[in-house]
Amino acid sequence: MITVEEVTKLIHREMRGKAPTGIEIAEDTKLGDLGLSSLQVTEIVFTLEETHGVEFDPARAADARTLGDLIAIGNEALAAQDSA
Amino acid sequence: MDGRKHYGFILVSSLLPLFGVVAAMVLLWNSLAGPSDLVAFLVMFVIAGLGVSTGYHRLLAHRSFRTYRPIKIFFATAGAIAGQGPPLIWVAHHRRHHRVADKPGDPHSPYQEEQPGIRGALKGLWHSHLGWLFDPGLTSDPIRYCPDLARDRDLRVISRWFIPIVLAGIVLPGLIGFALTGTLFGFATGALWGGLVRFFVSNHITYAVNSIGHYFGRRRFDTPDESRNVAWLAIPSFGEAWHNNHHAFPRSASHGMRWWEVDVSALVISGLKSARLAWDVMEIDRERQERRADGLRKTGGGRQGRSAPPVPLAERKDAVVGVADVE
Ligand SMILES: [Zn+2]
Ligand SMILES: [Zn+2]
Repeated sequence: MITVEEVTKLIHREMRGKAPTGIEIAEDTKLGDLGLSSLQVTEIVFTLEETHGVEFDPARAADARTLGDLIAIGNEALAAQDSA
Repeated sequence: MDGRKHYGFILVSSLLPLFGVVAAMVLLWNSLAGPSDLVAFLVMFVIAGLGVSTGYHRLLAHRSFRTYRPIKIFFATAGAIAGQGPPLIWVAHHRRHHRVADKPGDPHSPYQEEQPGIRGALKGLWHSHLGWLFDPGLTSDPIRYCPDLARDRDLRVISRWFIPIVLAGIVLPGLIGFALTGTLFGFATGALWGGLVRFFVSNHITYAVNSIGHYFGRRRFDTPDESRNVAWLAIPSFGEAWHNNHHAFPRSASHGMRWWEVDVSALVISGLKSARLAWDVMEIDRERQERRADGLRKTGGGRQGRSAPPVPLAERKDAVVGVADVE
């Protein structure tokens, strides 16, 4: 299972400790509000893929708007993998 | 990189090398340039040129051939040294360019917001040359356009370390200068010629393929875009200037399609193949070229020409992004 905490940690790593000011990171946080570049979001998505040994659907991952969307896509793929 | 950091990088990376060129000219005028500077320039020019052409463009963006991991890392790093962006971003922009070349959505078409007259033409050329990089809305999502490459950790690492690699590409020719002269002055002028002057020259050659290569030159194939073969740019661009050929056959490892169409990058790839360091090299024989040329002649080309699919799959909501679609 991919959790909000795990993704939060990755976001902090991408921002090199500079936490986004005034934003509490939660499921409904919009990715666009975090001030991450497309490269940083890419790094987060594909690091998650690597640690969980799963492939996100790239088209859906690219369309994800909130942190929760992204986590859901990853967990769906994980679930599909487990039942297969 | 996007947003302010992107803007800052583009500004510095286009102005600083320009100042470098001015400084180098002043030194040259005063006979303060030596053979070590020429060596530093040439070595770095070849590294950056092949990095962009053989590495970023043919190996990564179009997967024209396959190779071993250390060679892939070498070419991707060499491409980063050129300073045109991290591999994942460069490839995302470039694949988008191919999908919608000279149509709405193309990140660097000279025909964007077409305006009449010579002023409009110059504006379009400037946009496709360098102006597009200053567009604050510029973004091509690597997740959408190059998930295949983003799954490669090496390319993510090189993308992350992009700026330090660019800086190393300025220090390295300095070390060449120092090794050849043994003086700090040699280090400084080596870094100037092999770093800043090379940066300026080689990037403007790549940009010229995007601007001139969609404007002035001959068209062998009636591709649904305005791509051109620009013979005089062929050698300095390492073969990239056979741009109309390239738009007709994006995956072809060779952009030159006749014996006189010199393509240094294709020579490097075939050299690697003979040494068994590259395989699955995309080769397009003459017959396939003729068939494509005939087919395109019937459908009609140019920027009004119909491209298939009309909307790139990568931008359609209902379609799964296939790697096959984005290369
Ligand atoms: Zn083009
Ligand atoms: Zn291309």
